Amino acid sequence: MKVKRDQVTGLALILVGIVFAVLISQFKTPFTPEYPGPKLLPGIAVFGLIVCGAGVFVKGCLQKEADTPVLTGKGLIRVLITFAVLCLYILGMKFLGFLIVTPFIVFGITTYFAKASSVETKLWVRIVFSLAVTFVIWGMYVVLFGMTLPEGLLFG
Amino acid sequence: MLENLPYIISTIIQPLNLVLMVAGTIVGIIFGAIPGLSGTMAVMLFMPLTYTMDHGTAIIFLLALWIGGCSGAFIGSVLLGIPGSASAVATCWDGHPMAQKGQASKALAIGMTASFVGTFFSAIIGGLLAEKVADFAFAMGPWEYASLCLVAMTMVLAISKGNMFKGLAASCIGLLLASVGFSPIDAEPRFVFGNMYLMGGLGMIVVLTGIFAVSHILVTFGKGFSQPPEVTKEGLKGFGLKGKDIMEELPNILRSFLIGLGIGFLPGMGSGLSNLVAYSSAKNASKHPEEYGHGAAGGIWAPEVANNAAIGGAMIPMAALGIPGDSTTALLIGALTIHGLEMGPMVFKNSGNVVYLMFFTVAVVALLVFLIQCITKRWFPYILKVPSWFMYPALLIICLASAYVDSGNLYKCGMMMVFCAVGVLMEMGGLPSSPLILAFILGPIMEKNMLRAFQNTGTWTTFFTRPVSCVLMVLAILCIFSPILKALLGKLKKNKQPANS
Repeated sequence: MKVKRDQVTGLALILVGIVFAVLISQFKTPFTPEYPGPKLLPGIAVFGLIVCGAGVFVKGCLQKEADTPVLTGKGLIRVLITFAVLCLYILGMKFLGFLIVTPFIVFGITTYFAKASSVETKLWVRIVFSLAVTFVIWGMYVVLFGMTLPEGLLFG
Repeated sequence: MLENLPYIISTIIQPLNLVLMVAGTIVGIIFGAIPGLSGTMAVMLFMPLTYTMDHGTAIIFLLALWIGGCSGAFIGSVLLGIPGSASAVATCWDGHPMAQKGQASKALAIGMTASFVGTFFSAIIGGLLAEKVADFAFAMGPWEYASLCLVAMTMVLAISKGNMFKGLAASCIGLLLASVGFSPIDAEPRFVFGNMYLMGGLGMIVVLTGIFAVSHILVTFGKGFSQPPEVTKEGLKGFGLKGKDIMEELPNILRSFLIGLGIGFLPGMGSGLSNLVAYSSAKNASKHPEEYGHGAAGGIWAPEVANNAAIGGAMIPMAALGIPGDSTTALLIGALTIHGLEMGPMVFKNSGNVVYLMFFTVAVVALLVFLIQCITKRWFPYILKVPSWFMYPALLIICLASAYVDSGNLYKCGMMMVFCAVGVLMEMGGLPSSPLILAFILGPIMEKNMLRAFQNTGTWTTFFTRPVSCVLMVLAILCIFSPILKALLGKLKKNKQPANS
């Protein structure tokens, strides 16, 4: 039998609900009918998650045909690669700062997005675009509105 | 109200505010026009920019982004047949067929005029009514406020077709995220794990940009970008609309306006629903319903007037009660709180000038949007041809810069990536994001009022013994079970039909 999307979603919601229920049980202020205290809001959320998770799971079991997956294997790899690049970007900003890392990351992502979409873009266009995006964003935040962007541990 | 006029005019005519108003409007129109982006996303991304501004400037900039986004949504619907956002879904049904007939100019002119009529007059009515609603709100206690928050969250579920469990689950995730940090009244740390960055709660920008914007971009890329679309360019010369065309549609315009204003006023609902209701009402009332879906002018007037009239409608509960009418007003309430303005009945006593500035700004921006759209109409097709592989990398960098500016440290950027992962997983599981946004913003307000209510009476029964609170609670319960009730009613009707025949 093929596992359906809603079955997985339902089980995941129930699991999250149970984990948070355990965490809520460790709160010091007691829950009483006269005054529910800090357990009230997360308690409602956890109850809702478990009930809805069960509902989604049952709906998935009753479903005759499986849903089309939102992301196929190739799509998921694309998402994971972009996600990893953005995490590296944050790490890069920590050490080298916004102005140094951003053009390389924008160039990299633009190239990857275009290649993955089977589109030919000119190298100089991507270079100019990467520099323009970096300086426009830096100008907007730092020069125009007086905010700070990461300067990097090595240069800050 | 009139005593605030000198403050309003002196604020609006400041050069920086005028520049930001025009810039915000243009950016908003572009975000609204491009399918996949929206005015809500524009408000979210550019909100941190307003932190160093005074509150008048911030309000003008954010409202310009929002109004521009709402108004620009029809461009994609007319020229592509793909709605720029949920508020312009019904506009596709007649807007695109009319454009395909070579009347793109007329379809766009109707969209522009209808947007102006809806926004401008709803802002005026909103400005006139908001203080009256606030006067009424003074009689409300924590029971009514808590119930109202619950209604706002559950009403979204009532309109999520066949998705009740998932919509409710998304709301619950929003409530859990809103619980992080010190609890109100008791100040007990919740889900902080000794981490100092979590003690103040999760930032609105970090959570919402991660779940709503970054994950959306990643999933769109994962699904594969489509090539820049072929856009209808024929018949874009001239304004395309005559006074006679407007007069013929006056009853439709008036009806759609009232529908939009009313739906916008209901907490939790907004332009996403109003355009659909107005379209079906216009079709039902039309002498030629068979023309609808084939380029009928009434099919563009109705949704566009209604979705823009919802703006003024949504601003009434936002200003008078501090309860958002839709996800964008929820964001605006958060942004205004950062600027020290707590929306609600007291705002008219403490900062009435700012509230009237908001309504006045909406009316002025409506006019500005109309003028900008008239001037730039012939360039609309080019907005829709911006390649995704250039647009999305730039937006990703803005998202990360926003997260950094919001908190001043890269830790929050990392947290945003965690919420991006949550957003991707939600998308894969088919969980909607709108209920999460509303629950995340409304959760703390609801909790604070619920706890106050319990402190006052020490029992939950008061929620059902106070008449207004009872009505709202029953409404919330009905909303939660509405999909089941609808299905049961449908079955009953089906069973009755064969018996009758």
